[in-house]
This record gives sequence, structure tokens and C-alpha cells, in this order.
Amino acid sequence: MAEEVLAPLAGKVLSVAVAVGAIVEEDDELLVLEAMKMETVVYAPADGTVLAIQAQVGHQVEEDGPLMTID
Amino acid sequence: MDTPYSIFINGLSGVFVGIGTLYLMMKLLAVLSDRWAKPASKSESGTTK
Amino acid sequence: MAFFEQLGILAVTPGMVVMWLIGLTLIYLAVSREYEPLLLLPIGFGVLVANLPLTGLMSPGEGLIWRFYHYGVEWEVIPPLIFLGLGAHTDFGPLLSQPRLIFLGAAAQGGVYLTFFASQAFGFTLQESATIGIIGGADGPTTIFLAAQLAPHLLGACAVAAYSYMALVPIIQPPIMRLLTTEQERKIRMKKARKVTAREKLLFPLAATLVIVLLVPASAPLIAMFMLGNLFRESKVVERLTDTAQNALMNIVTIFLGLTVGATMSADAFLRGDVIFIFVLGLVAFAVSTACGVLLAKLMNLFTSDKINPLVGAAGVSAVPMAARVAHKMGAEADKKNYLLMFAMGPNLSGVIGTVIAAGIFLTMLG
Repeated sequence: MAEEVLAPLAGKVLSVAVAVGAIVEEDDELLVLEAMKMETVVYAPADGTVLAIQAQVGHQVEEDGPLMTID
Repeated sequence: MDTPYSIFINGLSGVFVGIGTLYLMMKLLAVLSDRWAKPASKSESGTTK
Repeated sequence: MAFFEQLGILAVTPGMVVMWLIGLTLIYLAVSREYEPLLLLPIGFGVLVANLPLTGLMSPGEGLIWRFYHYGVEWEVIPPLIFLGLGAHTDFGPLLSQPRLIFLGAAAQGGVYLTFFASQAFGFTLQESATIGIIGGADGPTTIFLAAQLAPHLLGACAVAAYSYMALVPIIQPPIMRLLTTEQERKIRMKKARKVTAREKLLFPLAATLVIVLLVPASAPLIAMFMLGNLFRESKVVERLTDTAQNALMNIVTIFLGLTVGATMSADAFLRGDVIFIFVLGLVAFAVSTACGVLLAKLMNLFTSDKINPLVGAAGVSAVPMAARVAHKMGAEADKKNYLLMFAMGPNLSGVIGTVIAAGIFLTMLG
């Protein structure tokens, strides 16, 4: 079952820590968002493999915007 | 109307009355907004709160 | 000979030197530690320059800086313009999506009133006490707005206290928040609330203006400008105006505000016993406001199954967005996947409104 990782808040993508195909465990660091001049780390909601990365460094995402898909 | 007590009471209650009225207004806005959205979408617009 | 008689350096008093040190300290804090630099840098410089003798800069009727002060601050023009800019920056979405959080901003005004009470118990007049109390609202322009009308001689001290403590929010708040909450409570995840439509965000400033001004007319200068700025932003049809309000206008007024506030702090106005009290009481105000916000959140949790994380109550202290960031960070310390920032913005913004209402009520009763 593919799981969408959604943005917990609106912000700008500062950096992405994993690549497509990477194996992640729950609570691994996936990417860093910037909101209100503060960096927020988004963590993996479950174990799996990164299928796709929708987030692009430097782009704004909305709250609940798609960031990654994990299987 | 000039003792510190009366200003304290008036002030604090005034803030809560003002904020409370704003709260009611915001709830009203939310209800109206859900109602206006209904004809456009057939799906459940979600429960309030 | 005349030139040597007018040498500034001959007219320097010890008080002035002390004020130079204070001005330089503020500039240091702004530049090196980045404490609220947009305000503390011009304020620090204003302090320095206003305490140089024989300049006539603050000469009533003629001084350059006096003119900025008189027409900008005494005439209550600058604080409302700052609010215009703030409103243009503000997104009320987080508050509209969970309206009940608005009460946390109201609760945070508790510090204002308690400090008002304590101040007058210490011998300050009612007007002075109100000005000192409003420091707890953590809102610079509102503090200046109220001080200019009720206690202009305390304006400099109260403004510096307010901005300093706003910068220190990450230090002042956490101990109080930790003291009043359990680890369990800090881990509370809040449910995502409803989506807010663009139309709601457009109607909100209009409706809010009506509600607040009809209830507390004295708050109109600040609230009307705040909501106008917000209306610009949410209408999405006046991008030029929104951009100006957010950027150019804000920057211009901030320059004048900082400089003039600093310049009111002449040695005789500032170096008085009162000022220590103001700084202590201001700190108390911040602390009590934080506590009140957290406590109301805990109280509200007794009556609802959809729990509020009490940490966001502390964000009712309207240092935007610092207090919201602090709440988020503390939540993340307890549970790293807890994203409280947007929830905390609700009380943060309602705190701004709450402080303006409080100021309006003080003005109505004491002005």
C-alpha cells in the first residue's frame, strides 16, 4: 500500500534527505521545510521504500500538499 | 468607574465579550461558508469543529 | 570663541553617558545577537543621538526628531500604519479553521490586567499602570499607541521593555510552559480542523472590523488599519497595495518608529527609579500572560474530547510568530512528529486582537 507523505504545514522545501528508491524506517528524516523562519523536519510515517518525491527544493508547498510517496 | 477594581473587571470581561462576539461571528462565517459550498460539491463537507 | 562655547562635549552630563551605554547596548543586542533588530537598532541609535547635548533634535516645535515624534507618534499615525502592514502580512486561516482557539488569545490578556493591578498597587497612576500592563500584550505598536495617549513620559521605557521581552520570548516562556504542563499534555496531537475558503478569509476582516469597532470604538485606529491591510491581502485584487503595505510602508514606518521611540529616552526621562519597576512588571506581565493562556487551554480540555495542546495557549502572548514557534518547538521536543506551528498561530493572532481590545478599553476608561 503506497502511502502519501503530506506536508504538516505550509512552507518552503529547504532540503530533501532521501532519494527515490531509498529504504526508510519510521521516524527517519525525510525532508526539511521552512515556515515562519523556522526549520521543521518531516519524518517518515512508516517503514518502506521511497517511490516518488513530489517535493522540489526551493518550492512552496501547501498544508497537506504531497511531499513523497512511500510503499 | 475609576477604581482599579472596576477597570480590572470591565477590562477583562470586555476582552472576553469582544473575543466571544468575534468567536460567534467566525462560527457564523464557517456555517455560511459550508452552506455556500454545498451546491457545488456533492460530497460531505465534513463535520464542524 | 563662540565655537568653543558651543562645544557639545562641554555640556555632557553623567546621565547622558549612561544613556549612551544603554543605546550602544541596544545596538549591540540588535546587531550581534539579532534581538528584534528592526526596532532595537533604530531605538538604540535614537537613544544615543537624543542624549547628545545642544543638538536641538528633540526641541519641541523645531527639532527634527521631535517633528517625527510629534506628527508620527503623538498624533497616533505611526502605530496604526504599522498595523496596516501587519494586517497585510497576516493569514487568519489557522484561526478561522479552529475558532475556539481565539479564547486563548483573550486569556493571555490576563497578564495585562494583573500587571495593571500590581502597578497601581506599587504607586503608579491608573494611566501609567495601564501602559505598563499592556506590555504583557507583547505588542509593540499597541504599547506605543497606548503610551502616547495615557503616559507619554513612560513611552520609551515601556516600548523598550516590550520589544526586549518579545525578543526574549524563547527564554521567558518555556520554563513557565514546562511548569504548568505534563509531558502527556505536551504530546497532545491536535486534529486538523476544517479547510477555510478564500471567501471566509475575505469576509473576516470586514466582519471583524464591524464587531470590534462597534464594541470598542476606541480601538478603531488600530483595528481598522489592521483589518484594512488584511482585506487588501485577502481580496487578491490589489497586489500593488498589499505589497506596499507589507514592505515599503512597513519599512518606512518602522524606521521612524524606532528612531523616535529611542529619542524619547533622554537621561532625565529614563534614569528614574520607576524604570526598574517597569522592566520588572513588564516581565511579570509576559510571564502571567503565558501562564493564563496555558491554563485556559487546560481548562478547555476538561470540556472537550478534541483536546487542545496546552502549549499553544502560550502563543496567546502575541509576539508573532515567535511565541508560535516556541510552542511548536516545545511540542516537537515532546514528540518530534507533532507539528503545532499552525495551531499555535491561531492564539498568536487572536492575542494581537485581544491586546488591541484591551488597549481600547483602557483608553475608553482612562483616556
